[in-house]
Amino acid sequence: MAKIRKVLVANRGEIAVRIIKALKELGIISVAVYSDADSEALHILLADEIEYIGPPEPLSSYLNIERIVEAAKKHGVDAIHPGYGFLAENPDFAQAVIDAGLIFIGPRPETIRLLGNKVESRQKLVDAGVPLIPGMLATGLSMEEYKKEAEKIGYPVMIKAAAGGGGKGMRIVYSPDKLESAIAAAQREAKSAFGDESVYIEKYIENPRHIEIQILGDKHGNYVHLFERECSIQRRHQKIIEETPSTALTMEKRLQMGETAIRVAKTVGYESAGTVEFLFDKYGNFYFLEVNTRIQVEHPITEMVTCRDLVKEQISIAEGNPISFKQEELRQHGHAIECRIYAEDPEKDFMPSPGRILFVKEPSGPGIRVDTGIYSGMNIPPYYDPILSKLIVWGRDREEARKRMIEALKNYVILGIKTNIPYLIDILEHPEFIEGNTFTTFIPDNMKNWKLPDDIPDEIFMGIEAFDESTLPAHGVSGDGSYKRIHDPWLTVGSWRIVK
Amino acid sequence: MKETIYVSGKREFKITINSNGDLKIIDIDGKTRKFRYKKIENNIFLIVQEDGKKHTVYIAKDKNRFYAWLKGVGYILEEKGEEYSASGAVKKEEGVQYVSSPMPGKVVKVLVKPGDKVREGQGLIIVESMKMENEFTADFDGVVKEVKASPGDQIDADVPLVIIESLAKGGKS
Repeated sequence: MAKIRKVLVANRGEIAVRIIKALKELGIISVAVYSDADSEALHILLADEIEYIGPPEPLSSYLNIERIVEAAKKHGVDAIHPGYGFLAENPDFAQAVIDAGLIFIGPRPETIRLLGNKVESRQKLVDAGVPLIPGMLATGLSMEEYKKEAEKIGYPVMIKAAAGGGGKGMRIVYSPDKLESAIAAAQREAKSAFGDESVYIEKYIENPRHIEIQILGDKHGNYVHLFERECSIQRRHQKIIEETPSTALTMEKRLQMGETAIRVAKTVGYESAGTVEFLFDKYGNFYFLEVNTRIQVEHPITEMVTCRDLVKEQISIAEGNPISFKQEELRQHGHAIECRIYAEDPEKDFMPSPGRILFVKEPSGPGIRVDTGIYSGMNIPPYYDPILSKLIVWGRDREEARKRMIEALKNYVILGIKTNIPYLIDILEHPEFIEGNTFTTFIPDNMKNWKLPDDIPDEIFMGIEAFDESTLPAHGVSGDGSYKRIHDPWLTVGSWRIVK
Repeated sequence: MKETIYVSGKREFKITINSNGDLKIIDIDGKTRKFRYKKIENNIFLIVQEDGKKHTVYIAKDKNRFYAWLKGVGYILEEKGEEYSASGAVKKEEGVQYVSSPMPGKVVKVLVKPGDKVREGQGLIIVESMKMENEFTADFDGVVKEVKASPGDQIDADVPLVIIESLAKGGKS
C-alpha cells in the first residue's frame, strides 16, 4: 500500500478548489497548476505549491500531458488528481502518469479506454445483461430489416443518423405506415448534414429522465453504489440542476438500478469513483447510456445525502485501501439539490459572460454548501467552461430543499458579469418542477423565450443613488478609492476566510 | 437636486433626487418616493422607505455601468452621458454601428471587408469565447466603413471590431 503525501491537481476552477480542500483535511500537500489566464485564480491562492504550465489555450496548458507530468516530477508528488473535464477521461494521460511512476487518482487506463469506446463497451455490457435502449446496435440494414427491427422494438421508434448529432437526421415514427418515408427522409438529411446516409433505429423514450448511479470500486474487488442522482434539467445537453433522490424511483427500482450499476462496475473491474448513466422512461424502464470515468460535477448531492466524502474516498482507494464502508451501511438521508452557477446570459441563448467580478456574496445558513472557484475582484477568463461555482442545499425532504435553494439563490450576489441565477430560480418555482415532472425536455417544454422581468424595482434606483452619494469625495469616501478596492483581488483576498 | 438618465436595454429612466437631511426624495419617471439609506459596506446598502419597507441592495460600478442586485435578480444600468452609448465604452453616433463583443475572446472569422454592402441581420464577425462561437450582425442596411480586427486576434470586450454606416445616413455606394 502506498501512502500519498503530495498530490498535483491537474485542473482549475471550483473542482480544483474542492480537491485541494480535501487534500488539506487529509494532511496531504497540494500542488496546483495554472495557465497565464489563471495566475490569480482561487485554486492558485489556496494550494501549498504552484506550477506554471503554459498559455491560456487549454491545448497548451491544462490538456498538455507532457507539461503536467513534468510539473508533477519537478514537485516530487506521489499522485495526480485529474478532476473532471480536461484530461480526466484521457487514457493516455492516466497511462503517462503511471509510466512516470506516479499514482493516477482514478480508474485504470484500460478501463477508461474501454468505456470511452461506446460500441465496444456496450457490446460487452449487453453480454453481461445490462439493458440498452432497444435497437441501438442495429445499423446499415435494408428497408425490410428496418421494418422487422421496428416491429421487434415496438412503436414509437426513433430514426437517428449514425454519424449524427444535433437533431439532424432524426425522426420519431409512431406507426408502421410512416416508417419507410421517415427512413428515406432521415437518410437524405443525414447525407446532406454529415455526408453519410447511414441511419439506425431505436426505441423512442417517452418522457425521458436522466438518472445516474454513483459507484465506487477498489483494488480488492469490492463495489458499492451510492444511489442515484437525477440530472434531467439540461440546457444544450448540459446539466444545470441535479437532485437526489429522484422523484421517479421507488425503492425497488432504485435498488434494481444500483445492482445494475454494480454489474457494470464488476464487468470492467472498475476502480475509484464513477457514474453509470441511464435513461429512464415513463413506464419505469431504464436503459444504460454510458459510464463517466471520473468524479462528476454533481457529486456533492450524493455526499450530502449519504454523508460520505467521495474525493477523500478516491484518494484512499488510490492508496490501495478497501472502500471504507459497506453497502449495508449506506442510506439516503433527506434530499439534496445542486444548481450550477454559470457566467452566461440566459436571455441570449446562454451566451458566455466572462469578465471581472466586481463583488461576490455567497449565501450561507443551515444545509447550504457552496463549491466555488471565484472571489470579489477575480477575472473570469474567456478560455474555459463558464462554470463559476455550485450551490448545493440539503433539506429533510424535497420541498424543504427546494425552498432553501430558492432562498439561497436569492442571496447569492454576483456583480459585474451575467449569471444564470435568476433563470435557476424560475425553474425551481415552476409548477412542473414542484410536481417532480423533470424530464430531459423540461427546458424546451417550459422555459421557451425566458426573459428577465422588464420592470426595474424602485429600490434599484434608490440603491444606485445611495451608492453614488456615498462614494462622492465630498462625503469623505473616495469614489476612486472604493472603485480600485473592488478591483484589487489581493485586498479582497485578505478577508477571505479560507486564506490565512 | 441631481438629475440622471439611466439606460437599461432599450429603456431609459429619468431620475431626480433631492435631500432633506438624510431623507432622500427620489423621482423615478414621474413617481415620487422617499427613503433613507445606510451604507453597510462599499457595495451593500440598506434602503428603508417611508412606509417602513426595507431592502438590501447590492451595487457596484464599472466606468459608467452600474451593476445592481435585489432578491436574486441582477440589473445592469448605464448612466447616460456624452462619452458612452448604450452598449458600453463606444461613442454613439446616429446611423453608425460600432460592432463589438460584450465579452473578451478570440476573432475566429471576419465575414466582411471595407466597402461591402450589408443587410440588416447579416453576419459580420465571429468571436469565440468560453468554447462557444458568437456571430455579431448588422443592425441595419449599410456599408462596411472599417474592419479593425483579423482572425486570430485576442480582443477585449466593448472594443469596436467592425464599423457600419447606414445607407440612410449617406453611406452611399
